[in-house]
Amino acid sequence: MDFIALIIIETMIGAVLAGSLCGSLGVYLDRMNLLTLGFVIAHAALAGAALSIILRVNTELLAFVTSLITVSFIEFICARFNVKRDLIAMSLFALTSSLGMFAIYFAPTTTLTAQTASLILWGSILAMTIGKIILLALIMIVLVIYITAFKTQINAILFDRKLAEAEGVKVTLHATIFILITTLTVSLILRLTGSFLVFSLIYNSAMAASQISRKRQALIGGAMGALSGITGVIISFRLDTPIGATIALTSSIILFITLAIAVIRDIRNKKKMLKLREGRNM
Amino acid sequence: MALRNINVNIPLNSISLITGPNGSGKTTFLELVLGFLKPLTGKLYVLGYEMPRNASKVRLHVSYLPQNFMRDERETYSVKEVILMGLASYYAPFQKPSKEELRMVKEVTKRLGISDLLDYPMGILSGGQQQRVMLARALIRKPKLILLDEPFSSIDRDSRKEIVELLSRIRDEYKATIVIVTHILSDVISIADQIIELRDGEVVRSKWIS
Repeated sequence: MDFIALIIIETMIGAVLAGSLCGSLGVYLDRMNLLTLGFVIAHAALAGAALSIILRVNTELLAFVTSLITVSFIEFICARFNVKRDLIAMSLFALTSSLGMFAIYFAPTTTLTAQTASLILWGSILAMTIGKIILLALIMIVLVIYITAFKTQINAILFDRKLAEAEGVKVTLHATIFILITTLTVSLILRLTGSFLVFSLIYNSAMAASQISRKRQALIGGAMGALSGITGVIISFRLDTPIGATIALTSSIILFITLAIAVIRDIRNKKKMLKLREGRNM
Repeated sequence: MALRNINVNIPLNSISLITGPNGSGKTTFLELVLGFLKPLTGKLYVLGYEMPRNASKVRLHVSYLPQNFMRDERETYSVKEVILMGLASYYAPFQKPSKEELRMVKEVTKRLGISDLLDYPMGILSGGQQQRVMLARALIRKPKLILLDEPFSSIDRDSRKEIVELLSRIRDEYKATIVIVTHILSDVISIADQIIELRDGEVVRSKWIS
Protein backbone atom coordinates (compact mmCIF):
# COMPACT_ATOMS: atom_id res chain seq x y z
CA MET A 1 0.00 0.00 0.00
CA ASP A 2 1.45 3.39 -0.92
CA PHE A 3 2.00 6.18 1.56
CA ILE A 4 -0.91 8.37 0.41
CA ALA A 5 -3.40 5.49 0.55
CA LEU A 6 -2.24 4.69 4.10
CA ILE A 7 -2.77 8.31 5.16
CA ILE A 8 -6.24 8.33 3.60
CA ILE A 9 -7.28 5.11 5.36
CA GLU A 10 -5.82 6.23 8.71
CA THR A 11 -7.56 9.59 8.47
CA MET A 12 -10.89 8.00 7.50
CA ILE A 13 -10.81 5.49 10.36
CA GLY A 14 -9.71 8.24 12.75
CA ALA A 15 -12.49 10.55 11.56
CA VAL A 16 -15.15 7.84 12.00
CA LEU A 17 -13.94 7.04 15.52
CA ALA A 18 -13.56 10.72 16.46
CA GLY A 19 -16.97 11.59 15.02
CA SER A 20 -18.82 8.73 16.67
CA LEU A 21 -17.17 9.38 20.05
CA CYS A 22 -17.84 13.13 19.92
CA GLY A 23 -21.43 12.60 18.71
CA SER A 24 -22.29 10.16 21.51
CA LEU A 25 -20.51 12.19 24.18
CA GLY A 26 -22.28 15.32 22.93
CA VAL A 27 -25.67 13.71 23.56
CA TYR A 28 -24.71 12.74 27.13
CA LEU A 29 -23.13 16.13 27.88
CA ASP A 30 -26.22 17.88 26.50
CA ARG A 31 -28.68 15.83 28.57
CA MET A 32 -26.52 16.21 31.69
CA ASN A 33 -26.35 20.01 31.21
CA LEU A 34 -22.58 19.86 30.73
CA LEU A 35 -22.29 21.22 27.19
CA THR A 36 -20.53 24.41 28.28
CA LEU A 37 -17.84 22.26 29.85
CA GLY A 38 -17.34 20.52 26.49
CA PHE A 39 -16.78 23.94 24.93
CA VAL A 40 -14.24 24.94 27.59
CA ILE A 41 -12.45 21.58 27.31
CA ALA A 42 -11.78 22.26 23.59
CA HIS A 43 -10.32 25.71 24.30
CA ALA A 44 -8.31 24.54 27.29
CA ALA A 45 -6.90 21.84 25.02
CA LEU A 46 -5.94 24.61 22.56
CA ALA A 47 -4.02 26.41 25.33
CA GLY A 48 -2.27 23.14 26.25
CA ALA A 49 -1.45 22.31 22.65
CA ALA A 50 -0.07 25.81 22.04
CA LEU A 51 1.99 25.67 25.25
CA SER A 52 3.44 22.36 24.09
CA ILE A 53 5.14 24.24 21.22
CA ILE A 54 7.06 26.41 23.68
CA LEU A 55 7.74 23.65 26.20
CA ARG A 56 8.55 21.11 23.43
CA VAL A 57 6.48 18.35 25.05
CA ASN A 58 3.85 15.97 23.68
CA THR A 59 0.91 18.06 22.35
CA GLU A 60 -1.88 15.60 23.18
CA LEU A 61 -0.57 15.02 26.71
CA LEU A 62 -0.34 18.72 27.55
CA ALA A 63 -3.73 19.39 25.92
CA PHE A 64 -5.23 16.65 28.13
CA VAL A 65 -3.54 17.94 31.31
CA THR A 66 -4.58 21.56 30.65
CA SER A 67 -8.19 20.54 29.98
CA LEU A 68 -8.27 18.41 33.10
CA ILE A 69 -6.85 21.19 35.29
CA THR A 70 -9.34 23.68 33.82
CA VAL A 71 -12.35 21.41 34.41
CA SER A 72 -11.18 20.56 37.96
CA PHE A 73 -10.75 24.28 38.65
CA ILE A 74 -14.30 24.99 37.39
CA GLU A 75 -15.74 22.27 39.63
CA PHE A 76 -13.73 23.54 42.62
CA ILE A 77 -14.97 27.11 42.13
CA CYS A 78 -18.55 25.86 41.70
CA ALA A 79 -18.45 23.85 44.91
CA ARG A 80 -16.45 26.35 47.00
CA PHE A 81 -18.00 29.68 46.00
CA ASN A 82 -21.46 28.62 44.82
CA VAL A 83 -20.91 30.21 41.38
CA LYS A 84 -22.89 28.99 38.36
CA ARG A 85 -20.87 26.45 36.35
CA ASP A 86 -21.64 28.15 33.02
CA LEU A 87 -20.47 31.51 34.29
CA ILE A 88 -17.05 30.37 35.49
CA ALA A 89 -16.73 28.09 32.44
CA MET A 90 -17.19 30.98 30.03
CA SER A 91 -14.69 33.12 31.98
CA LEU A 92 -12.15 30.35 31.70
CA PHE A 93 -12.96 29.92 28.01
CA ALA A 94 -11.73 33.50 27.45
CA LEU A 95 -8.67 32.89 29.64
CA THR A 96 -7.62 29.63 27.97
CA SER A 97 -8.16 31.06 24.47
CA SER A 98 -5.94 34.05 25.37
CA LEU A 99 -3.28 31.75 26.83
CA GLY A 100 -3.37 29.68 23.64
CA MET A 101 -2.92 32.77 21.46
CA PHE A 102 -0.08 34.07 23.64
CA ALA A 103 1.69 30.71 23.47
CA ILE A 104 1.41 30.68 19.67
CA TYR A 105 2.64 34.28 19.46
CA PHE A 106 5.70 33.62 21.65
CA ALA A 107 6.57 30.26 20.08
CA PRO A 108 10.30 29.84 19.09
CA THR A 109 10.42 30.54 15.32
CA THR A 110 8.09 32.30 12.94
CA THR A 111 7.83 29.49 10.38
CA LEU A 112 7.27 26.86 13.03
CA THR A 113 4.69 29.07 14.70
CA ALA A 114 2.67 29.62 11.53
CA GLN A 115 2.65 25.92 10.65
CA THR A 116 1.90 24.64 14.13
CA ALA A 117 -0.65 27.33 14.87
CA SER A 118 -2.50 26.42 11.69
CA LEU A 119 -2.38 22.73 12.64
CA ILE A 120 -3.67 23.34 16.17
CA LEU A 121 -6.35 25.83 15.16
CA TRP A 122 -7.68 24.29 11.94
CA GLY A 123 -6.50 20.67 11.90
CA SER A 124 -4.45 18.52 9.49
CA ILE A 125 -4.96 15.31 7.52
CA LEU A 126 -1.51 14.21 8.69
CA ALA A 127 -2.48 14.32 12.34
CA MET A 128 -4.07 10.85 12.58
CA THR A 129 -1.66 8.03 13.38
CA ILE A 130 -2.07 4.30 14.06
CA GLY A 131 -1.31 4.98 17.74
CA LYS A 132 -4.10 7.54 18.00
CA ILE A 133 -6.54 5.24 16.19
CA ILE A 134 -5.81 2.46 18.70
CA LEU A 135 -6.28 4.90 21.60
CA LEU A 136 -9.57 6.21 20.15
CA ALA A 137 -10.79 2.62 19.65
CA LEU A 138 -9.88 1.83 23.26
CA ILE A 139 -11.78 4.90 24.49
CA MET A 140 -14.79 3.78 22.42
CA ILE A 141 -14.66 0.29 23.99
CA VAL A 142 -14.34 1.77 27.50
CA LEU A 143 -17.29 4.11 26.82
CA VAL A 144 -19.53 1.28 25.57
CA ILE A 145 -18.63 -0.96 28.55
CA TYR A 146 -19.17 1.90 31.01
CA ILE A 147 -22.58 2.85 29.54
CA THR A 148 -23.68 -0.81 29.55
CA ALA A 149 -22.48 -1.35 33.13
CA PHE A 150 -24.24 1.73 34.53
CA LYS A 151 -27.24 1.86 32.19
CA THR A 152 -29.90 2.32 34.91
CA GLN A 153 -27.86 4.92 36.81
CA ILE A 154 -27.08 6.91 33.64
CA ASN A 155 -30.72 6.74 32.49
CA ALA A 156 -31.83 8.00 35.92
CA ILE A 157 -29.45 10.97 35.59
CA LEU A 158 -30.62 11.71 32.03
CA PHE A 159 -34.27 11.55 33.12
CA ASP A 160 -33.82 13.94 36.06
CA ARG A 161 -30.39 14.80 37.41
CA LYS A 162 -31.57 16.28 40.73
CA LEU A 163 -34.00 13.44 41.41
CA ALA A 164 -31.28 10.87 40.71
CA GLU A 165 -28.94 12.66 43.12
CA ALA A 166 -31.67 12.80 45.78
CA GLU A 167 -32.12 9.03 45.40
CA GLY A 168 -28.43 8.41 46.02
CA VAL A 169 -27.13 7.95 42.46
CA LYS A 170 -23.51 9.17 42.31
CA VAL A 171 -24.27 11.94 39.81
CA THR A 172 -20.99 13.82 40.29
CA LEU A 173 -18.95 10.65 39.74
CA HIS A 174 -20.76 9.81 36.49
CA ALA A 175 -20.54 13.42 35.24
CA THR A 176 -16.81 13.35 36.01
CA ILE A 177 -16.35 10.13 34.03
CA PHE A 178 -18.11 11.64 30.98
CA ILE A 179 -16.00 14.81 31.27
CA LEU A 180 -12.82 12.72 31.58
CA ILE A 181 -13.66 10.68 28.47
CA THR A 182 -14.52 13.89 26.57
CA THR A 183 -11.23 15.48 27.65
CA LEU A 184 -9.27 12.44 26.47
CA THR A 185 -11.12 12.31 23.13
CA VAL A 186 -10.78 16.04 22.42
CA SER A 187 -7.06 15.97 23.25
CA LEU A 188 -6.50 13.07 20.85
CA ILE A 189 -8.45 14.50 17.90
CA LEU A 190 -7.44 18.13 18.43
CA ARG A 191 -4.89 18.08 15.60
CA LEU A 192 -7.28 16.37 13.17
CA THR A 193 -10.16 18.84 13.37
CA GLY A 194 -8.43 21.77 15.04
CA SER A 195 -9.37 23.21 18.42
CA PHE A 196 -11.82 25.77 17.06
CA LEU A 197 -13.79 23.17 15.15
CA VAL A 198 -13.65 20.08 17.39
CA PHE A 199 -16.85 21.07 19.20
CA SER A 200 -18.78 21.16 15.91
CA LEU A 201 -18.62 17.35 16.07
CA ILE A 202 -19.87 17.42 19.66
CA TYR A 203 -22.63 20.06 19.38
CA ASN A 204 -23.91 19.51 15.83
CA SER A 205 -24.17 15.73 16.20
CA ALA A 206 -25.96 16.04 19.57
CA MET A 207 -28.43 18.56 18.14
CA ALA A 208 -28.98 16.50 14.97
CA ALA A 209 -29.68 13.41 17.10
CA SER A 210 -32.19 15.33 19.21
CA GLN A 211 -34.10 16.28 16.04
CA ILE A 212 -34.35 12.66 14.87
CA SER A 213 -35.50 10.86 18.00
CA ARG A 214 -35.42 10.93 21.79
CA LYS A 215 -34.77 7.17 21.79
CA ARG A 216 -31.25 5.80 21.31
CA GLN A 217 -29.97 9.35 20.93
CA ALA A 218 -26.38 8.50 21.85
CA LEU A 219 -26.31 5.90 19.08
CA ILE A 220 -27.82 8.34 16.55
CA GLY A 221 -25.46 11.10 17.71
CA GLY A 222 -22.52 8.74 17.23
CA ALA A 223 -23.73 7.79 13.74
CA MET A 224 -24.19 11.48 12.83
CA GLY A 225 -20.69 12.28 14.08
CA ALA A 226 -19.16 9.35 12.18
CA LEU A 227 -21.00 10.42 9.00
CA SER A 228 -19.78 14.00 9.40
CA GLY A 229 -16.23 12.78 9.99
CA ILE A 230 -15.92 10.42 7.03
CA THR A 231 -17.82 12.68 4.59
CA GLY A 232 -15.68 15.64 5.68
CA VAL A 233 -12.46 13.66 5.11
CA ILE A 234 -13.58 12.45 1.64
CA ILE A 235 -14.59 15.97 0.55
CA SER A 236 -11.37 17.39 1.97
CA PHE A 237 -9.26 14.88 -0.03
CA ARG A 238 -11.30 15.33 -3.22
CA LEU A 239 -11.46 19.14 -3.20
CA ASP A 240 -8.19 19.75 -1.35
CA THR A 241 -9.88 21.84 1.35
CA PRO A 242 -8.84 22.30 5.02
CA ILE A 243 -9.88 19.14 6.84
CA GLY A 244 -11.13 20.66 10.12
CA ALA A 245 -13.25 23.29 8.37
CA THR A 246 -14.63 20.69 5.92
CA ILE A 247 -15.65 18.32 8.74
CA ALA A 248 -17.28 21.24 10.61
CA LEU A 249 -19.13 22.35 7.46
CA THR A 250 -20.28 18.78 6.71
CA SER A 251 -21.61 18.34 10.25
CA SER A 252 -23.43 21.69 9.94
CA ILE A 253 -25.02 20.60 6.65
CA ILE A 254 -26.12 17.30 8.24
CA LEU A 255 -27.58 19.30 11.15
CA PHE A 256 -29.53 21.58 8.77
CA ILE A 257 -30.87 18.54 6.89
CA THR A 258 -32.11 16.97 10.15
CA LEU A 259 -33.67 20.32 11.17
CA ALA A 260 -35.48 20.49 7.80
CA ILE A 261 -36.67 16.88 8.21
CA ALA A 262 -37.92 17.70 11.73
CA VAL A 263 -39.85 20.74 10.46
CA ILE A 264 -41.45 18.72 7.61
CA ARG A 265 -42.32 15.92 10.08
CA ASP A 266 -43.94 18.43 12.48
CA ILE A 267 -46.01 19.98 9.66
CA ARG A 268 -47.17 16.50 8.53
CA ASN A 269 -48.04 15.51 12.10
CA LYS A 270 -50.06 18.71 12.57
CA LYS A 271 -51.92 18.08 9.29
CA LYS A 272 -52.68 14.52 10.41
CA MET A 273 -54.00 15.79 13.74
CA LEU A 274 -56.17 18.38 11.97
CA LYS A 275 -57.60 15.70 9.65
CA LEU A 276 -58.33 13.45 12.64
CA ARG A 277 -60.12 16.30 14.45
CA GLU A 278 -62.10 17.20 11.32
CA GLY A 279 -63.07 13.53 10.96
CA ARG A 280 -64.33 13.46 14.53
CA ASN A 281 -66.34 16.70 14.12
CA MET A 282 -68.09 15.48 10.96
CA MET B 1 -34.62 31.88 50.75
CA ALA B 2 -32.58 31.47 53.96
CA LEU B 3 -34.18 29.71 56.91
CA ARG B 4 -33.72 31.09 60.43
CA ASN B 5 -34.50 29.83 63.95
CA ILE B 6 -35.91 26.55 62.71
CA ASN B 7 -36.57 23.98 65.42
CA VAL B 8 -38.62 21.21 63.88
CA ASN B 9 -39.15 17.61 64.92
CA ILE B 10 -40.81 15.26 62.45
CA PRO B 11 -41.71 11.92 64.08
CA LEU B 12 -41.43 8.60 62.25
CA ASN B 13 -44.53 7.20 60.52
CA SER B 14 -46.25 10.57 60.30
CA ILE B 15 -47.43 12.97 57.62
CA SER B 16 -46.17 16.53 58.03
CA LEU B 17 -47.24 19.44 55.87
CA ILE B 18 -44.85 22.31 55.25
CA THR B 19 -46.87 25.25 54.05
CA GLY B 20 -46.47 28.97 53.46
CA PRO B 21 -46.51 31.54 50.65
CA ASN B 22 -44.11 31.50 47.69
CA GLY B 23 -40.58 32.37 48.77
CA SER B 24 -41.17 31.43 52.41
CA GLY B 25 -38.41 28.78 52.37
CA LYS B 26 -40.42 25.55 51.83
CA THR B 27 -38.22 24.15 49.07
CA THR B 28 -35.08 25.29 50.94
CA PHE B 29 -36.30 23.17 53.86
CA LEU B 30 -36.48 20.06 51.62
CA GLU B 31 -33.08 20.81 50.07
CA LEU B 32 -31.58 20.94 53.58
CA VAL B 33 -33.20 17.60 54.46
CA LEU B 34 -31.79 16.07 51.25
CA GLY B 35 -28.32 17.44 51.95
CA PHE B 36 -28.22 19.67 48.88
CA LEU B 37 -27.68 22.65 51.20
CA LYS B 38 -25.55 22.95 54.32
CA PRO B 39 -26.86 24.72 57.45
CA LEU B 40 -24.65 27.71 58.29
CA THR B 41 -25.38 27.25 61.99
CA GLY B 42 -27.11 24.60 64.08
CA LYS B 43 -27.52 20.87 63.52
CA LEU B 44 -29.80 18.90 61.26
CA TYR B 45 -30.46 15.20 61.76
CA VAL B 46 -32.36 13.07 59.24
CA LEU B 47 -33.20 9.45 60.14
CA GLY B 48 -30.67 9.78 62.97
CA TYR B 49 -27.82 10.91 60.74
CA GLU B 50 -26.25 14.35 60.81
CA MET B 51 -26.66 16.17 57.51
CA PRO B 52 -25.23 16.94 55.04
CA ARG B 53 -22.20 14.89 56.20
CA ASN B 54 -24.14 11.64 55.83
CA ALA B 55 -26.20 12.65 52.79
CA SER B 56 -25.12 9.62 50.74
CA LYS B 57 -26.30 7.21 53.50
CA VAL B 58 -29.57 9.04 54.11
CA ARG B 59 -30.47 9.38 50.42
CA LEU B 60 -30.56 5.58 50.09
CA HIS B 61 -33.58 5.58 52.44
CA VAL B 62 -35.32 8.62 50.99
CA SER B 63 -37.73 9.02 48.09
CA TYR B 64 -38.23 12.46 46.63
CA LEU B 65 -40.77 13.94 44.24
CA PRO B 66 -39.41 17.21 42.86
CA GLN B 67 -41.57 20.19 41.99
CA ASN B 68 -42.66 20.62 38.34
CA PHE B 69 -41.27 17.31 37.09
CA MET B 70 -44.01 17.06 34.40
CA ARG B 71 -42.64 15.61 31.17
CA ASP B 72 -43.89 16.55 27.70
CA GLU B 73 -44.55 14.20 24.77
CA ARG B 74 -40.83 14.13 23.83
CA GLU B 75 -40.09 11.98 26.90
CA THR B 76 -39.79 8.45 25.57
CA TYR B 77 -38.70 6.54 28.69
CA SER B 78 -41.44 4.02 29.42
CA VAL B 79 -43.33 4.00 32.71
CA LYS B 80 -41.58 0.74 33.67
CA GLU B 81 -38.14 2.22 32.95
CA VAL B 82 -38.90 5.35 34.99
CA ILE B 83 -40.08 3.29 37.97
CA LEU B 84 -37.03 0.99 37.84
CA MET B 85 -34.74 4.04 37.77
CA GLY B 86 -35.73 4.42 41.42
CA LEU B 87 -33.56 1.36 42.18
CA ALA B 88 -30.51 2.71 40.32
CA SER B 89 -28.60 3.69 43.47
CA TYR B 90 -28.80 0.09 44.79
CA TYR B 91 -27.55 -1.55 41.59
CA ALA B 92 -24.03 -2.90 41.07
CA PRO B 93 -22.42 -2.53 37.60
CA PHE B 94 -24.18 -4.65 34.92
CA GLN B 95 -27.02 -5.50 37.36
CA LYS B 96 -30.44 -5.86 35.78
CA PRO B 97 -33.83 -5.82 37.54
CA SER B 98 -34.52 -9.10 39.31
CA LYS B 99 -37.76 -11.10 38.94
CA GLU B 100 -38.70 -9.98 42.45
CA GLU B 101 -38.22 -6.31 41.51
CA LEU B 102 -40.31 -6.72 38.34
CA ARG B 103 -43.02 -8.35 40.46
CA MET B 104 -42.84 -5.39 42.85
CA VAL B 105 -43.27 -2.98 39.93
CA LYS B 106 -46.44 -4.83 38.91
CA GLU B 107 -47.73 -4.90 42.48
CA VAL B 108 -47.08 -1.21 43.20
CA THR B 109 -48.50 -0.02 39.86
CA LYS B 110 -51.57 -2.19 40.39
CA ARG B 111 -52.10 -0.56 43.77
CA LEU B 112 -51.75 2.89 42.18
CA GLY B 113 -54.05 2.01 39.27
CA ILE B 114 -51.46 2.38 36.52
CA SER B 115 -50.52 -1.28 35.86
CA ASP B 116 -51.88 -1.09 32.29
CA LEU B 117 -49.56 1.84 31.47
CA LEU B 118 -46.23 0.09 32.10
CA ASP B 119 -45.09 0.09 28.47
CA TYR B 120 -46.41 3.57 27.67
CA PRO B 121 -43.94 6.43 27.15
CA MET B 122 -43.96 8.74 30.16
CA GLY B 123 -44.50 11.83 28.00
CA ILE B 124 -47.98 10.89 26.77
CA LEU B 125 -49.46 10.44 30.26
CA SER B 126 -51.65 13.04 31.99
CA GLY B 127 -50.39 15.02 34.98
CA GLY B 128 -52.23 12.75 37.43
CA GLN B 129 -50.89 9.58 35.78
CA GLN B 130 -47.32 10.94 35.79
CA GLN B 131 -47.73 11.79 39.48
CA ARG B 132 -48.73 8.17 40.16
CA VAL B 133 -45.72 6.89 38.19
CA MET B 134 -43.44 9.03 40.32
CA LEU B 135 -45.18 7.75 43.47
CA ALA B 136 -44.64 4.18 42.23
CA ARG B 137 -40.95 5.02 41.72
CA ALA B 138 -40.86 6.42 45.26
CA LEU B 139 -42.53 3.34 46.75
CA ILE B 140 -40.45 0.71 44.97
CA ARG B 141 -37.47 2.02 46.93
CA LYS B 142 -39.24 1.00 50.19
CA PRO B 143 -38.23 4.36 51.70
CA LYS B 144 -38.25 5.37 55.34
CA LEU B 145 -38.83 8.99 54.35
CA ILE B 146 -40.83 10.40 51.43
CA LEU B 147 -40.41 14.06 50.50
CA LEU B 148 -42.97 15.61 48.17
CA ASP B 149 -42.44 19.11 46.78
CA GLU B 150 -45.75 20.67 45.66
CA PRO B 151 -47.15 17.32 44.48
CA PHE B 152 -50.58 18.76 43.65
CA SER B 153 -49.52 21.73 41.54
CA SER B 154 -50.07 20.14 38.12
CA ILE B 155 -53.04 17.85 38.70
CA ASP B 156 -56.79 18.25 38.73
CA ARG B 157 -58.96 18.14 41.85
CA ASP B 158 -60.13 14.52 41.37
CA SER B 159 -56.59 13.20 40.93
CA ARG B 160 -55.51 15.28 43.92
CA LYS B 161 -58.14 13.61 46.13
CA GLU B 162 -57.10 10.13 44.98
CA ILE B 163 -53.40 10.83 45.61
CA VAL B 164 -54.15 12.21 49.08
CA GLU B 165 -55.96 8.95 49.93
CA LEU B 166 -53.04 6.99 48.53
CA LEU B 167 -50.55 8.90 50.71
CA SER B 168 -52.56 8.06 53.79
CA ARG B 169 -52.50 4.36 52.81
CA ILE B 170 -48.75 4.54 52.08
CA ARG B 171 -48.04 5.91 55.58
CA ASP B 172 -49.99 3.05 57.17
CA GLU B 173 -48.89 0.18 54.91
CA TYR B 174 -45.24 1.14 54.35
CA LYS B 175 -44.68 2.69 57.81
CA ALA B 176 -43.13 5.64 56.01
CA THR B 177 -42.61 9.20 57.22
CA ILE B 178 -44.03 11.64 54.69
CA VAL B 179 -43.21 15.33 54.38
CA ILE B 180 -45.35 17.30 51.93
CA VAL B 181 -44.46 20.81 50.86
CA THR B 182 -47.66 22.43 49.59
CA HIS B 183 -49.55 25.67 49.45
CA ILE B 184 -52.82 23.79 48.80
CA LEU B 185 -53.98 22.69 52.24
CA SER B 186 -57.68 22.07 51.63
CA ASP B 187 -57.46 18.49 50.33
CA VAL B 188 -54.47 17.20 52.22
CA ILE B 189 -55.16 18.54 55.70
CA SER B 190 -57.45 15.58 56.47
CA ILE B 191 -54.54 13.13 56.48
CA ALA B 192 -51.90 15.36 58.13
CA ASP B 193 -50.45 14.72 61.59
CA GLN B 194 -48.55 18.00 61.75
CA ILE B 195 -48.66 21.38 59.96
CA ILE B 196 -45.65 23.65 59.89
CA GLU B 197 -46.19 27.11 58.45
CA LEU B 198 -43.21 29.05 57.17
CA ARG B 199 -43.06 32.76 56.40
CA ASP B 200 -39.96 34.72 55.38
CA GLY B 201 -37.75 31.78 56.34
CA GLU B 202 -39.12 31.32 59.85
CA VAL B 203 -41.63 28.94 61.43
CA VAL B 204 -44.65 31.07 62.29
CA ARG B 205 -46.92 28.21 63.29
CA SER B 206 -46.44 24.54 64.13
CA LYS B 207 -49.53 22.56 65.00
CA TRP B 208 -50.24 18.91 65.79
CA ILE B 209 -53.51 17.44 64.58
CA SER B 210 -54.91 14.71 66.74
